[in-house]
Amino acid sequence: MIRRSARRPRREAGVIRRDPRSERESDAPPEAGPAAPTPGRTPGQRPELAPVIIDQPEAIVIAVPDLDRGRLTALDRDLIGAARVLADARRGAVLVVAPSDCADDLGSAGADRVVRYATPAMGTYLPAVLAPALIGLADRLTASHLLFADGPAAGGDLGRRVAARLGVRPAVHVTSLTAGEAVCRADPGRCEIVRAPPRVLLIEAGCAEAVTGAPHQAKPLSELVLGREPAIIDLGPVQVDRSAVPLVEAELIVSAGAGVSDWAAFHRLASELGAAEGASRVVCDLGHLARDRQIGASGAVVEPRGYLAFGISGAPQHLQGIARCERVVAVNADPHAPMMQRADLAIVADAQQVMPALTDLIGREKRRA
Amino acid sequence: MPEIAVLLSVGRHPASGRARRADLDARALELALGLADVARIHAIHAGDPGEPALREYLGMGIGSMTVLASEGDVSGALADHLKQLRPAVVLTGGRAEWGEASGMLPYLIAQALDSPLICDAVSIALRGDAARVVQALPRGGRRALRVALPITLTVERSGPQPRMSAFGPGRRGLIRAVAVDSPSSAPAIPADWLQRPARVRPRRLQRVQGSAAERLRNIQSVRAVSGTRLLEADPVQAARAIWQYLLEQGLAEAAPAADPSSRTDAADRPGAPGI
Repeated sequence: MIRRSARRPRREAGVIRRDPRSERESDAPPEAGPAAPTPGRTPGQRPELAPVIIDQPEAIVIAVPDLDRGRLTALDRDLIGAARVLADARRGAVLVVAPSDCADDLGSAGADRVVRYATPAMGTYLPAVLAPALIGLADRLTASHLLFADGPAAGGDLGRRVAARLGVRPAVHVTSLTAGEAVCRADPGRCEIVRAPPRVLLIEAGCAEAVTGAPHQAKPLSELVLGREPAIIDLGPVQVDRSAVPLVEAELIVSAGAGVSDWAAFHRLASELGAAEGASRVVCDLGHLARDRQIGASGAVVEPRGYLAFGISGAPQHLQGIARCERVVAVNADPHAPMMQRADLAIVADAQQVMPALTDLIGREKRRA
Repeated sequence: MPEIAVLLSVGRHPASGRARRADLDARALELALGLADVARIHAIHAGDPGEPALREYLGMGIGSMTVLASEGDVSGALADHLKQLRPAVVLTGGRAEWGEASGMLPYLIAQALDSPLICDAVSIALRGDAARVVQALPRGGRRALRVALPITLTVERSGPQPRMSAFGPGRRGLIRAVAVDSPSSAPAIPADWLQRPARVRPRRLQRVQGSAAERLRNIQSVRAVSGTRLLEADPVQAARAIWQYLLEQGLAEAAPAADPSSRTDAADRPGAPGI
């Protein structure tokens, strides 16, 4: 008879165990990558680089980043890099316009000067009041260029407003920028237009490298005063059916893998949470969910704020699809699955039982409110 | 009856290159057709009156359209025509499907007519001398705006799905060609710009150097930010733990239905500032 070792304690139900290995690993210092951004940096040591100070710039280039919930996105960093390209050619300075609640370090992103604007009063439609304020700023400082991010967020709208007011034909969808020429994408996808950089440019992602290395001064200038636009009143957000949003844009995704067999419960949970439905490859192959719901290397690469995985073991191709997701909850019967190590909150339980329990709990909480 | 002007352009099929109705302009027309019983719709095109692709717009049931015979840079001609028409709402697609496709035309028109512009409109309701417009936000959000008429709206892919075009009404529809008073001689794309076929730009990939085993280890070792919490529980406790986690991380609201500003037809109070 094989006796169970008396030293190993019995697992108790309901106990939260922290994974000591992952805690130890996160305490370790980060390894230096093979390509350090500045030469002369020894791994494990971070010497303070002297900030770059430009005292009397000969030109000012204004960059207006979009910001996602107050943080600089990759496109915003590329935008400031593109502004640096134009400013360095004229020995000028980059001025970044940001809201006052942006906490990011704009100096390390490459800003020499920073102009903030306060959050406008309730009901103000921001693009309509920001455009004339930016034009006033550009006139006061005789800025040579204004750069915006050409995207579905505010930058595309704001940049075109400013260009229309200034009477300038802007360079839109700029994919490559040097001091002498801007390459714009035209005839959607088929042609390129090469022209001298005009006063207003709308930059696409990947146009210029983000600024790395020595941080810039980010000297704050006087705050931008926003006027009023009485014709447009912002009434605030409207409730949407969040499960109808495409997968790549969804904020919350509930995902099913091979461990899910109760599909009615899965669909009920997704609609109760208001989350988009995702799937692993196996589920799509078997036809339980449509192919456009597949998440992974050959499916959709998603970046939701929250990801709930039911019955997914965590094949590397699937993990590639959620590589940029911060908050992952995994429910799986197998505690050693790779998805359980990837997850922020991992629950060892049968997905078929947890899904209806969660649906009932959410229903009760909503009815109680 | 208020007048609604819809600016239409000739589109290009992305695969075959055949001229057809432009997708965004068709969505703008669909948005206008939703107001067909409370307003008069004017469909306007600036270009060649004999273009066959215009019949696809007529096939959506508008009966007639006006074409300003012009070529090159048409923004001036359109602005003059709209100044005479003085519509309450100008609808247009976000950008063209060929040419420079800068998306500047709606902004130039709004500038010339001195009317506020709302981009990415999803729906519109006319109320007296103001309109209630729902605008699409990134990540599937929506927000409501109240704008004083006259307004200019652009429609993107978030707009309503355009109805099918029928061949019979397209053939029977009337195209009114109108001569432009002072045609502009400026070409659509200035001569000092160089046009060339698009070059494929290499995408910046975060390449992890190393063998397949190292790349596999790298993707599997993406750990949670705060360290994994592993929980073994019965279903009810597990559900409670998940719900607590969602509340803590701000991924779910405990009381969504009690928020009065989310009701669509509440009294139009100003809400939180935009963006």
